[in-house]
Amino acid sequence: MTLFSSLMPTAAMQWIADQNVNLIAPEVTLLLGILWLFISSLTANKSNRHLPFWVSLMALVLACGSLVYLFKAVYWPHSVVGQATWLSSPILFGALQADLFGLIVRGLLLLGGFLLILMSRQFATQIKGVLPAEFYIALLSALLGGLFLASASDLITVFVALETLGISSYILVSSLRGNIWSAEAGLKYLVYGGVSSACLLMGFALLYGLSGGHTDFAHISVTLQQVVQNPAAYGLLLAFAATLIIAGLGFKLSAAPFHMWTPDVYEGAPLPVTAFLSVLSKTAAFALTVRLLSGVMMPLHGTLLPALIAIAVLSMTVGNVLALVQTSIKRLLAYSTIAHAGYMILAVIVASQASLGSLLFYLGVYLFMNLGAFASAMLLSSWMGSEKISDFAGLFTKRPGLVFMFSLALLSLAGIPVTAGFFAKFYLFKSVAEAGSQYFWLLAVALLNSTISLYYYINVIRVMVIAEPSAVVNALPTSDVNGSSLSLNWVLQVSTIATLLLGFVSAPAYELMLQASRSVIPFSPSISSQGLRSKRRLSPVSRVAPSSTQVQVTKTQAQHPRISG
Amino acid sequence: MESLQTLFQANYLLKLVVFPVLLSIFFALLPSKLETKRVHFWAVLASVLLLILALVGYLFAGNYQSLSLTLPWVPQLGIHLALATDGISQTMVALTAVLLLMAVVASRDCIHHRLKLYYSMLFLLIASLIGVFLARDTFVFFLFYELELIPMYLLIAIWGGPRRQFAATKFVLYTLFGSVFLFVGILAAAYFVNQTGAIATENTFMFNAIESVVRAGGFALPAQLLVFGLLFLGFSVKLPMVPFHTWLPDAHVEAPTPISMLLAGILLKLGAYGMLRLCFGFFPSASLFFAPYIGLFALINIIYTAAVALVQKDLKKLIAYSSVSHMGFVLLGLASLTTIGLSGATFVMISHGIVSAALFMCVGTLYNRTHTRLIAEYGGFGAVTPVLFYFFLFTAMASLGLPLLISFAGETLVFYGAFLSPAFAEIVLPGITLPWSIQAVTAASAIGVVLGAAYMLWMIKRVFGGALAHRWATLSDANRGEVFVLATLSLFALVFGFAPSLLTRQYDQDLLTISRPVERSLVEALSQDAHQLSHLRSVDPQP
Repeated sequence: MTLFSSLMPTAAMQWIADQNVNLIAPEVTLLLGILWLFISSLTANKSNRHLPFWVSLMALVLACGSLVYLFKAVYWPHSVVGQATWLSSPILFGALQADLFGLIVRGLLLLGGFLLILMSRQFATQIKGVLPAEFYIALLSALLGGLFLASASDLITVFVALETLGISSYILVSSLRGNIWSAEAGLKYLVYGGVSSACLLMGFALLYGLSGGHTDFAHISVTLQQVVQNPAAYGLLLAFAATLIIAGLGFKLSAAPFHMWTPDVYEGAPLPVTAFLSVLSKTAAFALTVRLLSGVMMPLHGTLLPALIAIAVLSMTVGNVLALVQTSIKRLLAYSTIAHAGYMILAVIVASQASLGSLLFYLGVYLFMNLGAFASAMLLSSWMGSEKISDFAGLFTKRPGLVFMFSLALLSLAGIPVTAGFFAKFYLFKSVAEAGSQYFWLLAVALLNSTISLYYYINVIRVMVIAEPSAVVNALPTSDVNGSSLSLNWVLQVSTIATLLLGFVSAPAYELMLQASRSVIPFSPSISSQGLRSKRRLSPVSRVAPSSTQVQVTKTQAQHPRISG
Repeated sequence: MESLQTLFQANYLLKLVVFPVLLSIFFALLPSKLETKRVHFWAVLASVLLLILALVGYLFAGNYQSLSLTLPWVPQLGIHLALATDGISQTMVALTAVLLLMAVVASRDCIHHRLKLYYSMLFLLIASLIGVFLARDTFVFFLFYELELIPMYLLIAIWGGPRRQFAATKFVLYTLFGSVFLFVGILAAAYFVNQTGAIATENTFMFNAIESVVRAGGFALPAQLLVFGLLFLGFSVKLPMVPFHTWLPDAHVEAPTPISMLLAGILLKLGAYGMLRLCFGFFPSASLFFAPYIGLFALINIIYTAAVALVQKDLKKLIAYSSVSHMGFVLLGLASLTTIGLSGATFVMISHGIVSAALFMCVGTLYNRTHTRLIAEYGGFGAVTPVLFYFFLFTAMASLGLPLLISFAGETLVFYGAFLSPAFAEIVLPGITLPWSIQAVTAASAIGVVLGAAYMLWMIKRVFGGALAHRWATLSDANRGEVFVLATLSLFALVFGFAPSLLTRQYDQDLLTISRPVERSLVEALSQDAHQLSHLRSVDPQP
């Protein structure tokens, strides 16, 4: 740091300090990693297929390290005093903001990215037709987009970050060059993604107009508050904007009825990419959804409620019912992803501190259990050359350890007690129940759906453990001696341990998530005053905030008493 | 003795739960090259160790409080890893450990493939059973109660008979159906406890928190009825009570012998234990309302399933239905609402655990030799298998309630308690009121004993009497392992039959904490009724 400061002009240092650039150190690290990969792929020897892997792994480790440092240096000292949870500092003229919610999501994304890079090693370095450098550049930029999305506080940042994530994902999906399914999936994803981005952009444009020409969240939420008061003049526009935004988000969340692309793309894409879409892309999309729907557009929440409820119920039901009839493990996991999106949307519907905290916890647990399931599926399919569930029959006799870990991931997805998945569901459903009796029927639907989901998850376990060995399994060698699947095994073990550990000691993690969720909820009394004050202290930009903010805030409290609880 | 006590005292209950889990992991990690004989040997050794550990608990009799353990688990929601024991729990744990040893010895002759997984699942099952009996937090109770499903499913589905997959799936579906009600009941109880605000929220799932809130009158009667009903419904699938009993014959017929022994011996008792501890223990006043219906279902359970057992062609199915019939006596004992009746219910739980395990062992021994379970194909076995004949006859006698054998003591207590109880004088059903008092129900239930004698003796006659078919001429008698199991269980049946007090004094004091409030609320309700009657009489206009 001293070297840095001696080299840098004072003005630049001052600018960095003013704009809180240090708070996006992980993103900067990742960006440097991408640049290095880019340059090295142009100049270095192409035959070294492992270099991109190590470079991106190192970038991820450094980014994780800087995030941990950030957490310890910036948030930890404050949390002792009790302020850090809503310490919300604008970065780069308010394009981004750093709060505990964003920090947690970024942590999840980086952790997931780290595991994913390990998972994709075999794919990127050994499969012919994959360009390792390009693959990892796309992966890291998608991750970068997700990271920016997690802390975005401006519509423009949101859109740019979303497109960074999206365009990189299109490339990732079709990264298996020469494979017709991969290309088809990529094209499908591109077309669907393009349309949904257009919807979202149009929604943002309307929001921009309705808020009187603001793009930053703080102003929009204040002006929306006034606009909502006048339904005669703005009602139609508001409904239009909300519909477009929900449609755009629904695509990213792969929630029904915007889920049509999911099974096809998941099936066509290479498995590591499917894991990325199912876990990381979704985590980032949920962060955005929470920020938009439970944050900025909270005044519209009442209007959005029927649509959100419909989406949640549809996603759960469609996901679970269609998963019952799947024969391919990839498609099964795709439909299970849709169902889980449905459960998680319940948290956005309720939008209380407890529910958003449970959503964060759910996302964390989901990361491990789903990556565990995907890692097992990858190991099995690369080992057996088949993705059909019926071919897994009797696998337990050959690979008991692997089947045990796969079963644990599936049981956790099903929400069987003592696994982390059970507690994730338990916390989430409990927060919904606490929100009031008007949501009880929604809860009943969710419970019914989790019961249905038991069938197809346990069926996979049944086939692997109980059924007589299939012809494919019988032909297999007893032990797997493929050295490069070592990292995949390692990921699987880590996620198994995390799934068990988060089940046995879920309390501390849940407590942290609860604290984090406080920073998104906008109008809670202590939060808003604290937040605005700290903003005013830290940033010159927010001085232009309208003086009526405080009055508005108290008004909103009266209208949303349940948020402040 | 003292030193032994101090040796085991620290975290004794945690050891009791964790030890079988460690054994389960141990068996999973055994090298797959190990001979089957060795694996069986390790399993016997492990279950002997577990039995010793379980029996050590009796050293603390009278001082069980010193063992209780409460660790916060999810403090935000008031979930604790709370374990404690008392006479009832310790007796159930001891029964579990005894039957485990018997099942492991029986496994030598029945289980021949995938032994590592088998024993791993068996010990996991035992861990969950012990956990249920020791849990003192409804949430933890539920977790252990659910945990038992996974090993049980695999144990039936992998090592069972020809229709094992169907039977295992049916078992899981039925139990899950019950669990839903149980879980909702547990959450509802926590919700109502939270509502009162009398208890700090970090304790809402603890048994004693619920008990103290109820005692302080914090629970409205409708809420009590709701929670009691939900919990009872959940447990009645496990017990099983008649409309929900159809999983049991299938599961028993398909399960291998050792698993049948454990299923009848302990798993059914989870339902009975849950009713006793959670329903009756928490809500004594609500039990008053439910007593007539429990009595009615007890009657149906006893008579209907005994009649069904009478016409069974499959030997194992017959024993399975007799199990359901005996569980009816537990229900009758509970419905009596008296200390003696509840004590009888507890006694039947234990006696049935011992007797039914022995009966399933006999059936398994026959099946291992003949590979059929159809009674019609048997006949005249008394000549070729005299030892087995002796033990089968003895256990059948014990089962049908021959005086001085174990079932007799339990059934007598139940009948005595129920017959002298003023629990209800009529059964009010929607649309109809049956004028059946508990005395009438008890008297009718006594027919079940006659039916029990009928199906047991008839079965013995058909299996061991008559002419021996030609193909059975070379049948071998029970081997050493089988004799060991049967002799041990028969010894228990004999000793506790002669001196029931040896058993009752283990749990009687602790049962009082459950039965006294129940009795007290019954007496209060009766005196109120009497009061109302006298009041009515006094205002009655003089003729």
